[in-house]
Amino acid sequence: MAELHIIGSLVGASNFPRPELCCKWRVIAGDGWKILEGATEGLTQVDVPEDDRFTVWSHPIDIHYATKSVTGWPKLQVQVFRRDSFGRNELYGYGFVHIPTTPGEHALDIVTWRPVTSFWDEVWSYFLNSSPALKNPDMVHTPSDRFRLTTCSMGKVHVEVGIILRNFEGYGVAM
Amino acid sequence: MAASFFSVIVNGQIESAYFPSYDNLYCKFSFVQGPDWVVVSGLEEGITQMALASSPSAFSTSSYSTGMLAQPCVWNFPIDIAFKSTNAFGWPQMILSVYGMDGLGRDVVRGYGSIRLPRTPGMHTLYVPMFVPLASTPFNGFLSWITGRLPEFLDSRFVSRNEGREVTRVRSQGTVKVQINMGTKDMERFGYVANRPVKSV
Repeated sequence: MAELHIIGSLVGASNFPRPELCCKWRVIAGDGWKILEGATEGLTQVDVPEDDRFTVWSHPIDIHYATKSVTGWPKLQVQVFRRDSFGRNELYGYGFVHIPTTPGEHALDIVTWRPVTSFWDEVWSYFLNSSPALKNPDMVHTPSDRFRLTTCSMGKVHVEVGIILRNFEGYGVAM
Repeated sequence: MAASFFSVIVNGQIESAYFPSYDNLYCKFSFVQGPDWVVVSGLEEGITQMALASSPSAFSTSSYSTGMLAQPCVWNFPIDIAFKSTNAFGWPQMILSVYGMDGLGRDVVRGYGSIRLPRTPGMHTLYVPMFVPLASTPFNGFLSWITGRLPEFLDSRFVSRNEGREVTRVRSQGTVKVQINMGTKDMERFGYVANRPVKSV
């Protein structure tokens, strides 16, 4: 079987309305993919930065996949939360990015969005610091059922990742 | 002919650090790597001298930039280490912890940080964002303010792991600049492709 190493880190986030953020991440791959080593999901620290423009997570990612198929290439899905001073988490954004297929190092920016509902719900969430969230976060990386949704754009999540492939060439696969 | 292991050669230096509100700093570093990795030569951990920032010079950072012309603490501390491994999983990470002196001459942590060594051969300039843990409760925060003892991580290698990070609140401050020259040996003979463009065999 061909092998894929995803080695990198969730660097941080910028351009969100407030910088006290943490991130829940998950890597999703198709059926033909098997995890050999490493965690495919996690939750980062909450950073209260000195410099409001950039939230630092510096969170390691190290995943070793074996695969029989090149379909269902892994995707990284993120959910960004803001932790307020009372310890409550407010949803600040969803986003995903495909793990690059090209070997080498890549700096990726994940653009994010959050669902918006009616005007009165927005007023409600302004005073209660709670925003609407998706019932099924799998929608973030699947192409179905998006058209019913109204969303508003949020900040960017910065990811730095190195891709190492093994034995893909032996199967005649070029990446 | 397939190789039975591959090697990674790391040369470089911990060049300098820029902490907007602190001065007089030193840095401890160590490497953390996966179970299949072995250090063949070089020091796995070390400690730099105490450095005072005096002359302004350029310390340009990437997207989380904090000022182009700053007063960095220069360490110019050499790193020479070589690894060998049979598995790219657990690619080495460098753990940095920066300490300074408080008003009473006690060592106080000013930042923890971790950076994954580059996966590709070549020369790399890395900027490591640093952060300190915050007190878990307001009372503990008051206590640490009174006693002058800031919260610390029990094990600095904590920042290189995925598990247990969600319970920590941190404050990011400062950046360390690291220059790294990476060399790899027998990666391709081992079946790995880690660099663009893919060579056709």
